[in-house]
Amino acid sequence: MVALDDTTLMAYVDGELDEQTARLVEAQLERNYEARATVAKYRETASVVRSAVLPYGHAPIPERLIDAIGAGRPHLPVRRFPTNGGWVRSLSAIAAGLLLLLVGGGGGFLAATYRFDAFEAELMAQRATVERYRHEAVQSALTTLVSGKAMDWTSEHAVQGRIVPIRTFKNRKGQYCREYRDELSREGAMSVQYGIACRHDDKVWRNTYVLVPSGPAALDGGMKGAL
Amino acid sequence: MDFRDELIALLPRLRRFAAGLCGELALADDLVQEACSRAIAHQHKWQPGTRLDSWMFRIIQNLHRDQLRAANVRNRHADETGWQAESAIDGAREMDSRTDLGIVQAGILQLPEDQRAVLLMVCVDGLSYRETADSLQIPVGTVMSRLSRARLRLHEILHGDDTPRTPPATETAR
Repeated sequence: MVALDDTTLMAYVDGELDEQTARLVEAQLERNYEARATVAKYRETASVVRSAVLPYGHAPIPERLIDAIGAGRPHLPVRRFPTNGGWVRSLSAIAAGLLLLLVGGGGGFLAATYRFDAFEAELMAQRATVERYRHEAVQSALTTLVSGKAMDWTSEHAVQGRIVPIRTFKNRKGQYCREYRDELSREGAMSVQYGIACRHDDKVWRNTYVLVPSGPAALDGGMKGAL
Repeated sequence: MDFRDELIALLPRLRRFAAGLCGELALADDLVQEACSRAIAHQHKWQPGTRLDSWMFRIIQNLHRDQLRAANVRNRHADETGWQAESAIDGAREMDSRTDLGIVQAGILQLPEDQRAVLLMVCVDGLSYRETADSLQIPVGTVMSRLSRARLRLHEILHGDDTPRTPPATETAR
């Protein structure tokens, strides 16, 4: 027997009870109408609170907040598009993925390292080309696509990308800005980042911010928290 | 990831938490901005490897509580709770659900501050009781009793059980 007091029922709803206790509670709930009603209250309140508060997290982030955090440091956390920081990191991530494949192939660590270096050098050489493709895709996708639709692109080096506009808003200067998802993949290795670009008077979308989520687990699920 | 980068990545969640506490996005942004400057100033006190989100939640909650005490700020009305910002992005939202969410938001604002923080951390951010307790530096039992009271009270507010529905704090604002 477990005492079905309020906090126990709440802990049951919130998944805080261990397996065995949860089963005991369940067994007792079957014949306890009042406790079932209390469980329903806890369930309902959790769900309405979530739905009432979650939308706050979707509002566009004011630039002043990001500026306030980024101020006073030599380089902003945010990579403007044409600089190579985020991009190199993306390529390194892809290269690292390939390195694993090479090691798995039995090439041995040294051979793999050697080939990794060579591969990375090759990637660097291709960077400008790929970057141009990506830049064009971003321009075109943000200009022509409604949010949620994807634009795929492929460079001649088998690097593929996908740009998905997520959301549109106006910034303080009255420019249209769009948040977008920016995927890059090559031979099964993929990296994702999120950007916010604003459309300037010359009709060019320029990135204000690019967020590169950290860690492999960030590939998809973690990303929702990133922006 | 650099400390400031992590803060920026956390911004949506921090704003959400702050907005849940004070009921208005513009106020929430001030709160988050202040909390971030404090965090940056006291960066050395944060231990890398521990959860930055929990640490930030505590800073935000302390700041908010201090502000409430200092200014004896009255809670703002649900009508002002940042729907403008939200509707600017999500124009397709239906009127009905908007009204309902407004009622829930107003209900959350009627809860005592300490209960509200626990409610948001567990129900919105999915922290465990233990994580919430560590973050707010209170015992797990306190987390549970606050959380339980908050939810039962909110249920009363929304369904008007035995208690007559409390008029919204800002009826005068209309």
